Amino acid sequence: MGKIVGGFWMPHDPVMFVAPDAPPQEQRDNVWGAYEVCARRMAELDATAAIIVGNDHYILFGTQCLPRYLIGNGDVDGPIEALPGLKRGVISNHQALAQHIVAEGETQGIDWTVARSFSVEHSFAIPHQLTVQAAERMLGRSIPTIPVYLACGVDPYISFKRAGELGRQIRAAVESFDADERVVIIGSGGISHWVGTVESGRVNEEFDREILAHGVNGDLAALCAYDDADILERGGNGAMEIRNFACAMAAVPNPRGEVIAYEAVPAWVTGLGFLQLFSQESAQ
Amino acid sequence: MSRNVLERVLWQLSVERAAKERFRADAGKFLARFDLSEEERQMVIEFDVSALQRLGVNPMLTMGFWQELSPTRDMALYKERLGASDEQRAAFSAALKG
Repeated sequence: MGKIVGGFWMPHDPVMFVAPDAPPQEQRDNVWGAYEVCARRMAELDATAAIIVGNDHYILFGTQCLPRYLIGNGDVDGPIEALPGLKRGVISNHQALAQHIVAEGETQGIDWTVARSFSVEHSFAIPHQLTVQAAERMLGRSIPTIPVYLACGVDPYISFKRAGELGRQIRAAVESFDADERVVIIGSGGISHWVGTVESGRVNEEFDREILAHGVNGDLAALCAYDDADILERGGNGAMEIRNFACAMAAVPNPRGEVIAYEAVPAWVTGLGFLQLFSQESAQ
Repeated sequence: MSRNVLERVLWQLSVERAAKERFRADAGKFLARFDLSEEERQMVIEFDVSALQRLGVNPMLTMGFWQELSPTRDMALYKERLGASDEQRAAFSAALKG
């Protein structure tokens, strides 16, 4: 029987790679260092597989097809964008587990859109390269990683209700999986950020800390209670990505969280929060 | 619905190399095959990102289109074209310059 042994929330800010020297040194150190802390903790969890819940930014999916939720269960590579410091390459996927999530989902009315081949973009690649690959180096072995993409950047957005259901279904599938997998799930997203709008560069620390508090408390209901107008006003269009946090938190049994780092970084146009989700059931 | 067509056009111009080349060579000719009004064509040709957003076009696309194809690709000018206030300009970051 497999197990979700924990989770993380972490950002995927491409501006970090485009303008690495823009913020004050202390902020840079805290943010880059937070990815290292997450990697170390992932290695300490002895993860054998990972799932990264990200979202497209109108790069992968065009107007002809906008999936609400998608899983990559075959050939995976990327990232598709050329960002300085991110390497493009083949990504080790856990096809058996991904296929099991799809099959188990069908028994629960969760009809995943499946990508048999998939090129990820930065919302997967940044957590993967900075945390999963770093944990792989610490452990000296591969951590096959499954991409899940939720519609948070392009409407029609996935509902919070569905994001939570997907997390719970992922957990059920992991627990009914044959092998003794230890799975870590990562919700990838910035907190407040305005992407491509006139407010770009604004960061709302009050909103960001409110969201992180929901993670600390393991309060999925509170996280899922925001309406889109409120998010857009207080967190910007980029903050729709807290749906990825909801999915990851729902996958962790009886979760509680610990903030690893938070920085409000206008120079990187985002409120950047790092949080570890612990399963209270695992601790008992 | 115009938004759908405009987003189709801007998505192609953001991610498809051949579309970018055709647009650079002759923007009017490239746009002629899409069901756009003359006013909408002008918004694209003139990089009027503010008008495009008012029609509901996703800001990620207007930004991508600007960064890929506008004459200067300057993000300070992008915010100016969006009508940024003095306060919004003051909040402007080094990361967005150029």
